[in-house]
Amino acid sequence: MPPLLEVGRLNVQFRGERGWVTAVEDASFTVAPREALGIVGESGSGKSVTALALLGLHPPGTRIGGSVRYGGADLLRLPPRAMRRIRGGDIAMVFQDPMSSLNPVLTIADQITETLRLHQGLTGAAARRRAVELLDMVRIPDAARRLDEYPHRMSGGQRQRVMIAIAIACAPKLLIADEPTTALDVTIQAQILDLLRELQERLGMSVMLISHDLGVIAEFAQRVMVMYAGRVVELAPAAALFARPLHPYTELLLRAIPPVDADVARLPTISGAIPDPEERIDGCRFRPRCPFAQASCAIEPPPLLEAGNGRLTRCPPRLAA
Amino acid sequence: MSDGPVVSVEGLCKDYPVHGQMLHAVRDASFAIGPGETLALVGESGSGKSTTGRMLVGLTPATAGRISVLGETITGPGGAARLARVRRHLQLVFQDPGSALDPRMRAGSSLAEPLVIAGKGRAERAARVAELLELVGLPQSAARRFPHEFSGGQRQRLCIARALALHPSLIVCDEPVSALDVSIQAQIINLLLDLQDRFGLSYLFIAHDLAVVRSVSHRIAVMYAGRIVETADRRALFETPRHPYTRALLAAVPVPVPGRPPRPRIAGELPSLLDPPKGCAFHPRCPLAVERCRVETPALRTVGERHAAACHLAGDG
Repeated sequence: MPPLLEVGRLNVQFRGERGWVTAVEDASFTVAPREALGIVGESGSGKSVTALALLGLHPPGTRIGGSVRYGGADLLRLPPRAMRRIRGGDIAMVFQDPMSSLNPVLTIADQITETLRLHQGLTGAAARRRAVELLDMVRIPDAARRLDEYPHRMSGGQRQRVMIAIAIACAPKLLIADEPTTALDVTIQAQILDLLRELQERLGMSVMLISHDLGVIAEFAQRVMVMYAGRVVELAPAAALFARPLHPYTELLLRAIPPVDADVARLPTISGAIPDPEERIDGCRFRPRCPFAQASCAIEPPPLLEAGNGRLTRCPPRLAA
Repeated sequence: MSDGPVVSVEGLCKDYPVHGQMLHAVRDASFAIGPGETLALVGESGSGKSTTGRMLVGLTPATAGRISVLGETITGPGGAARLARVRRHLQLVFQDPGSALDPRMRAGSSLAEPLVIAGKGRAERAARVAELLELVGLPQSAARRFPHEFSGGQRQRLCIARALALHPSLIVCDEPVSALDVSIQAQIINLLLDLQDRFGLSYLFIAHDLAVVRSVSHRIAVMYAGRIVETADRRALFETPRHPYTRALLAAVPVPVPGRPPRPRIAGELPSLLDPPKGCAFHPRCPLAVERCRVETPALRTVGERHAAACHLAGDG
C-alpha cells in the first residue's frame, strides 16, 4: 500500500542570535494508511517542530527544505489557501494544552460548528446535530447540554475530548497528536489514549502520536521514530524497537526509565546534558554522551541506514558490529 | 537527637474558604518519617500532596493537627518559636528549578544565601559553597554563572545544593524530576539517593509518577481528594496494593513494553474538592463500590504488616 504521507529529507531552521539554527535535519519517514506512528524524543529533539512544519504552522521566517508528499502534492509548496483546506480537513491536529487551544469566550458548540462550516459547509441545526454526534463519539456524557457550555466549565480531560471532537469533525485521514496527554493526570491519560485508539479504528485514520514518554508510545504506536537533537536516530516497528534498540541513544534512554514493576538500586544514566540547538557538534550529535563513541563518529554526520525488517538507524558503527 | 522519627504528623488538616464554602485540601493525614527514610506522597491533581508538603516545612499553616520535627511540635500555641529552632533542618526542592533560583544572582551567591542568613563568615561560606558544588556534581566554575547559563538538570542540582547548605535532616522534594527529560531524570534521582546514603537524609518525596516513586522511596502514601487512602512499604504497595484506587493508578501507568494486554481502566473524573462525593470520595469511580461506600467514609485501617488502607472492602491481613 502506498504511504499516506511521505516526508523526504525535511530540514527546518530558525534564525538564532548567531545565524541559522537547525531544529530538524534530514528527517525522512512515511505514514501508512491506518497506521499509528509514534515520534518520541526529549527537549529539543525536533519532534514538535517536525509536526508543525508538515502543516505549515511554523513561524514566519523559518527556513524549510525537503518535501512532504500527500495526495500527489508537496505540502511544503502548496499555496496557503489549499493548505488551509487540508489542515483541519484531511489532516487534523491535537495539542498538549487544551485550555490554550480552545477559545475561552466561545461555547463548545461554536468551536465545533466553526470547523464544520468552514470545511463541510454545515450550518444551523445540521451542524448542531453533527456536533452532538461528535461529543458522543468522544464520550462526553450529556452531549446536547454540554454543547452550550464554555471551556472553563470542563475539566482538563473533557477539554481534551472536545479538542479531539473538533479534530475528527471532518473525518481526517491523518491525526497529528502532539503530547495530547502530557498535561493530564495518569488515570485520565489512560482514558484519552483508549479513546484515540478507538477512534482511529472506527474512522480508519492514521495517527502520528508525538510524546516524550516511551510508555505512552509503547502503548499506542505500531511503528516508532526516535529523534535526538534534531535528527531521526532510529525508526522501527514498535515491538522490535523496544525489544532490541539499535541506536545507543534509544538503548540508554530505555534503560534510564525507572521501572514500575521492579525494584532497582540505582538507575543506569546517560551522562551529560541535551545539547543546546546552537551548539556545534561535529559528526553524530549524540557522540559527546555516547559511551560507545569512536573516532569515526566525529568525522561526519552519520546517515540514516537500512537495518533490515523495516528498521533504520543512524549509527554506522553499531550496525557494522 | 533520639532514634525517633525525624518528622511525625497526626490528624493534619488544611481547609481553604472559597466563595463562602470550605474546601478541604487535606483531611486527617497522619504519618512519620524516620532518619534516612523516604516517604513518597503520590496522587493526582487535587490529592493534597503538595499542600501536605508545604505544611510540613511551615510554609502553609495547618488548620488542624500536629506536626513534630525532631521532637519539637511546630503547630499550635508556641509552634512558631519551635519552628524557628528546627527550621534549618527542613528544606524544600521544587519542581521547576528555573523559577526557584533568582535569575539575577550568580549560582555561588544563591548557594551562600542560606549561610549568610545563618550568620556564617565569609571564609566559611566560600568553603561550604565549594563543598556543595562538589557534592551535587557541578564544577567549581559554576559558582560564577547565572541560572540561565545552566541546563534544567544542572539547575536542579543547584537547588539541591542550596537545600543541603545548612545540613538539614529532612528535604521535601515536590515533583523534583517532573520537569526534566528522561535522560536527566535518572541522574537527579541517583544524586538524591547518593546524598541520602551519605548524610542519612530523610525525604518527603511528592510525585505523580509511580515509576519514579518506586525508584526512590521506602514507604509510600497514596492520596486521593485530600486523604491518604493507602500507605505501605514500597514492595507491598506495588505488589499487593489493597485500595482500588491504588490498583487503578498502577494499571494506568504506561509501561514501555508494546503489545501488553489492555488493563482495566477506571472511568470518571477526579472529584471536585468543593463538592466531594459523600462516603468514600473514590466510590463514583470504584469498580467495587457497594452501598456502604456511598454513605460512610472509610477510615484508614491496618490490612497487613505496616500496611493500611481506607477501604471498606479491603479485608484484614
